[in-house]
Amino acid sequence: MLITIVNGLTMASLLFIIAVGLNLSFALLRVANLAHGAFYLFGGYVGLSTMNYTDSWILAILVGGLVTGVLAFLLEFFLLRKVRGDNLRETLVTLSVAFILADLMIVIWGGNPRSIAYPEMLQGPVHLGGIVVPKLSVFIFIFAVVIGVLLWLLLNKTKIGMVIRAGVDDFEMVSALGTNIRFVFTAMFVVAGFLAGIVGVIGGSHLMMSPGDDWRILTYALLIIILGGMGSFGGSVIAALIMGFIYSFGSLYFPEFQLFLMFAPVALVLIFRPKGLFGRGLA
Amino acid sequence: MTHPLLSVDNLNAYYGKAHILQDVSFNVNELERVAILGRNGMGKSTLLKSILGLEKIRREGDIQFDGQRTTANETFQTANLGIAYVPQGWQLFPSLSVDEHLEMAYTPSSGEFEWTPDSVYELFPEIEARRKVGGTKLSGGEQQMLAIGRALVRNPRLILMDEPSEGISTFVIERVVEVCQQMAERNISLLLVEQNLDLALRAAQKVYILVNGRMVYETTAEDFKADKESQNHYLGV
Repeated sequence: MLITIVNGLTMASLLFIIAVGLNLSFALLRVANLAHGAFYLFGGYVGLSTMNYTDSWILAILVGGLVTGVLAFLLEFFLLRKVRGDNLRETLVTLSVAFILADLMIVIWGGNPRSIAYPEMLQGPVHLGGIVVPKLSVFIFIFAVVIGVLLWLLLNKTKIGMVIRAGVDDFEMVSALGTNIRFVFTAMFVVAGFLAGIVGVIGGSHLMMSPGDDWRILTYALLIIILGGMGSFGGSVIAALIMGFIYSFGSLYFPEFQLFLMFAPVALVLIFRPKGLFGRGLA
Repeated sequence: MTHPLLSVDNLNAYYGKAHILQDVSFNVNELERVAILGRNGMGKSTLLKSILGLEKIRREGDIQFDGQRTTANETFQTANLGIAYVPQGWQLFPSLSVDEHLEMAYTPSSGEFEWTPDSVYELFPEIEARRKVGGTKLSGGEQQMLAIGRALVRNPRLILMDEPSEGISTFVIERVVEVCQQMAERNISLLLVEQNLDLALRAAQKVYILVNGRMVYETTAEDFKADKESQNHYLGV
């Protein structure tokens, strides 16, 4: 029971970092980046190769994040900007990139499940007040909290954060106030890609990586956004926790209903609170 | 002063296939207060949006600010030349508090008069009491004050103001007129579009009339005030 809670928290931590990046870039750019799951897996594979070459896990996380960030930049700057404002085309562009990346990853890294070795320091259990918890889970949880706090401070305590929040509300008015909103769009998209990449490496250490994970993770991230509400930071936290626990308890007690259990709350929210638990919806 | 601050020359603007503005030409000189009058749906808001390049308005013709062509600019570039915008319906940000609106928009200026968030609160004490409140939770009048304050702290050379009389009480209208009249003392020029004749004639010095996307009449506020026949003819008042 306790270990299931720990597993739920760990999954929630990973999902939170993936979803909050996707959510913020979705709310700001008004594009659901369907390549976000592919970014996650791509970051993981890049981390795997980096680990094989350098044997440094920290470096693997950094390189996985940075390379994915560059990929996000290329997608936003060279493709999305060309179709800005045309929702269907924007979404199709991200979908195409997701398919291309998925095949490319099979070509480069093969179809067998892989996992990333992580440092001995994080292997094995740790005793926390009578509970035995994997060290890696503790690390992932702390990591998510740190990322979450940093993002919260950025959003709520800095001028950049004001611009992002205002941009979510009304990006045209932000540009009428003299801010280059296109630059902010690109930066947000790159940060979201970077976060997906680093979680890919950490997730690839905690879980296995195999083709198809990109779509699975994308689905979870989209469920979290719908449940928590578009553009809502707090909503992403709560929804990631809900999904993390449903995932861990579901796979233990009702493995055959796991997906149903994850979609059910989302369906309920769509019926009774279409803007999500904490969402404001579009202006 | 060899050229006007803002000069619009043969501007045509289209929303999709709709031809909203037709060969519109006018000037705003340095420290001048200009009102463009016209009934609803005559293209007044489109005119202001075209100057900033907002929304998906296709523009033809020439717009110059301080001698520089702006039609190839992005919105933020034009805004940073020194143009601030007080939109119709205020377009405040629900996610930002009153304080944050002013802080985000604040652009320091080396000029003789500098607007800061504090000097805006001095001008509008009503919103100072509500600094921590979300921008869109304010009353209509307070939102208008905040929208004007947000434009002032940009320390612009020109303010574009869209229908400030809409949705506010006569008391707040008086405040808006006062602020407009004091703008020249603060080195700010004004381009106002309005349906409210009384507000426009008191806030502005020069008046243009826009009918069905065309500039049909140009006069001074003083002359137009006395000219009931033209008022009736162009505005039906």
